Amino acid sequence: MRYGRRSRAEKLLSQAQARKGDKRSAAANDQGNQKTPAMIKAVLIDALSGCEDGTTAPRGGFTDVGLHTGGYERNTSWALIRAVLQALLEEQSLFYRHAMAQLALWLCEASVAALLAENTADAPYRQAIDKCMQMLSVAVQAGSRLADEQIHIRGGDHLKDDMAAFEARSVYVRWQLEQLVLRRASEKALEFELPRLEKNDQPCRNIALSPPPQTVPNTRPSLPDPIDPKMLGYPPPDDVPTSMSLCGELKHKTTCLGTYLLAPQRTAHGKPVWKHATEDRWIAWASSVGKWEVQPGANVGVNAACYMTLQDTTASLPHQSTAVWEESDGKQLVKAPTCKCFGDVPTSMSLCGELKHQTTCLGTYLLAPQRTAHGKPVWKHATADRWIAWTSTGNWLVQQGVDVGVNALGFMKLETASLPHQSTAVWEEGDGKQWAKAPTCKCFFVPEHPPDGLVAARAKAEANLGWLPDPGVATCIIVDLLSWLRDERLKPDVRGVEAQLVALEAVEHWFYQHAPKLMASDTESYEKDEAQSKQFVATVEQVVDMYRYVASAFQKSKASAALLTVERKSREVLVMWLAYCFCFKVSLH
Amino acid sequence: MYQICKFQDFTGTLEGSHFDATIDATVSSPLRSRLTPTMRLEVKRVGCSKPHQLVLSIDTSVRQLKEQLPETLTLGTAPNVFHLIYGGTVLCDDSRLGELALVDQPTLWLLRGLEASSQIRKAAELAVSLGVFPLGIGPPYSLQRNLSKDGALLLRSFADSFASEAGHWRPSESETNSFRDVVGALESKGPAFQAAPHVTWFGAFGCALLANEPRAGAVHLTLVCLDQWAFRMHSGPEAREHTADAMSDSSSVDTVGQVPSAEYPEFLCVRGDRTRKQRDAGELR
Repeated sequence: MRYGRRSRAEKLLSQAQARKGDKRSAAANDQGNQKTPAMIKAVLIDALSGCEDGTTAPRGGFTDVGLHTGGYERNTSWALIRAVLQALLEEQSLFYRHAMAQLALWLCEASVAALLAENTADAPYRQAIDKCMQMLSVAVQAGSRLADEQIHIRGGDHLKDDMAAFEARSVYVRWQLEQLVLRRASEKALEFELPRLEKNDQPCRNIALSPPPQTVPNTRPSLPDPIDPKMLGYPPPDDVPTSMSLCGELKHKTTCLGTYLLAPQRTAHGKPVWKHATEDRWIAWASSVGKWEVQPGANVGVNAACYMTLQDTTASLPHQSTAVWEESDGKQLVKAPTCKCFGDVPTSMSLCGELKHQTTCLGTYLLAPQRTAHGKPVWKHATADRWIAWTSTGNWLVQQGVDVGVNALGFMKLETASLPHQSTAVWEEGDGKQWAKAPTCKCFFVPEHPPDGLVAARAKAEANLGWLPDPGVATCIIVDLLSWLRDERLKPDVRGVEAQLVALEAVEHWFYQHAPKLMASDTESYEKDEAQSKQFVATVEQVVDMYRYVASAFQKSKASAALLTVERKSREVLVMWLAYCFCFKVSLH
Repeated sequence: MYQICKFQDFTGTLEGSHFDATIDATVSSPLRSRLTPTMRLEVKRVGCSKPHQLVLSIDTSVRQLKEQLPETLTLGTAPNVFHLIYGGTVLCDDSRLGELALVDQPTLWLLRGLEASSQIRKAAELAVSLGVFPLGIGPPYSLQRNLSKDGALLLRSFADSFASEAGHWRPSESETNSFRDVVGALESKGPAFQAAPHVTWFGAFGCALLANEPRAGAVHLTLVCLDQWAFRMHSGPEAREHTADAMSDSSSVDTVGQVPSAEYPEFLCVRGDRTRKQRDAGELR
């Protein structure tokens, strides 16, 4: 009987599982074959009662956990373990729920510990992080449901803290995951560290950004290690000044005088370029004539048209040259013997300290680009007739304007060969008879009031992109756009990616801006006249051809990786489609 | 709140602060420089019911605080290994107490991560392989096998952590014993009817049979059934997929009947001839 009952139970279950097709249904009070708990109960009841055949019909109400079309078998293994736990801990149901929430959090902590301990490769690492976050989510949901009950029902001083501790642990797990992600991100970022473009750029390592100068005053960390010029290629090795001052007497091209700033994103024939602080004047190398020239931005690197020249093949940079500058008088070049280029000289200096006699000499001095004295720059007092100038006796003097470059008469003197603000020598003041030392007196370089961040950023953008021709897309017609695209400076094989991007975006801008005309009922002049229509279509074709040529060149450049390919392609397709629509509309008339 | 002693003029300065102000009235240097605001706080370790109370200057950094904690709390670990948590934040070592938005007499939780021992690593693996969590990565779990062995191993590791000094949760003794009995039931290979019932798995049918002996001579059979399911959309290898998870805490229990105790062991033990495939299918144990 015992074996028979067991055998019957097993046999009955096998019989049930053998039922196929319509016989699986229990609709007609048959036992059928369903993957439900009720089915098992029916089989067990039959087995207990000694029935030889499956006669007990299963009750309804339970979900079939078997495989159904388009789905999966239900995941029952762990759910049953949990259900058994719940049934066996029935008298402590709150403890069961608490234990399950604690188990979820403990497993999450274990997973994080395992993850922290191993050095997983990228993709599995990301999946592991996702898994841990999902585990944490499950644990926190279970914990939050219990939080109130824990305090009000379970009670007890030593147990009240359970949920507070649970919260702290959840916070800690999340923090551990965030730290792990940050660490991995930082390690990954090191692979993509950008080269430094300027001497004072910060390295990207440790997420040290390099904002435009003066945007974040006094908050920068100490300067980075010296740049290896070989690593950078260009920009500048240390002997390239970041600013140059062109000073001296000119008759015609006085607007060329002043301070020029290094344009870090631009070169001309492999040499650095400096742009005037306020004017469209550039000091650049013209390889065709082998000269340094002061040119307008449009001519830099393109041709040799210029305002001034310095022909000196021995010196590598203008401030190192002893040759004489020449200025154009409109017809020919005229020598400007007093004109000279100085590297990294201060545009303003302040003379401060205690003086007994020459107190009028104290104050701020500004670089006077119109004058030089014995081959060195001259600074003029902001309000008084006092000048700091180099004399024939080989020292710096504070003089009156009439004496500058003429004689060695002065109110104060500084015996040094270096620039006044760099010297450690002691200033001396004249008392009418002799020189007396003024040990507290010192000359400081005072940078001009720093521009705000936006101004600095614009200045940098101007230095980087200001040399490019302005397309004037807002007002131009397609013919203007074509002639603009033909500009030498925009040739993709000559210029860098900056020019390519400007060309691409200008064409896109033009087509997108003019797209509403396609829907307008008004007829444009070029649509009415056949000759104009043909010319319009030909122009559009040329613009699109040039656009695609530039796009192709840009696509091959490394810089293209910075933009989404799908975006660039979409823009290109849209431009071509609009061009087609324009041509189609013209052909309608 | 304030211990101002006789210097009433300073109440205005401190009003609104939640720091205890202790003033040494015997020192003759300027009063303001001798005002040293302090705060009272307690540090608890998860799993340890006894907090450690401190009174510290608000200029104390979290690092300094950690260095002052007794070994009974830190379990001898270095200050850089554990962390202090307060109000949803892991406190930065360089922060000073006065800079943190702490309430009066705050409780800080001392925590350190679990050590990645082989047991912990195994538990982490089992958490995934058993489908404990409804993860959205990979296809949904559809396990219907009898996983009581692995499940018991996982729960045993969890139960072991209750007693661990560095454990993160410590239930009461009676709760711990109950939990261990249940784990014993999952681990049992044959009918024992002592502390825990015998379990027979019917994973392919969403239920498990519990057999216990409430009185001598009769085994009571109870079916534990999965009852409620929650629909879930799930990312799959090619597209989204649908599945349903058994909702927690929602199983139902149904009585099947009784069988004489003498017949029950044989009723189950003869099943050794069943193939592994059938066993794994979760039909019968």
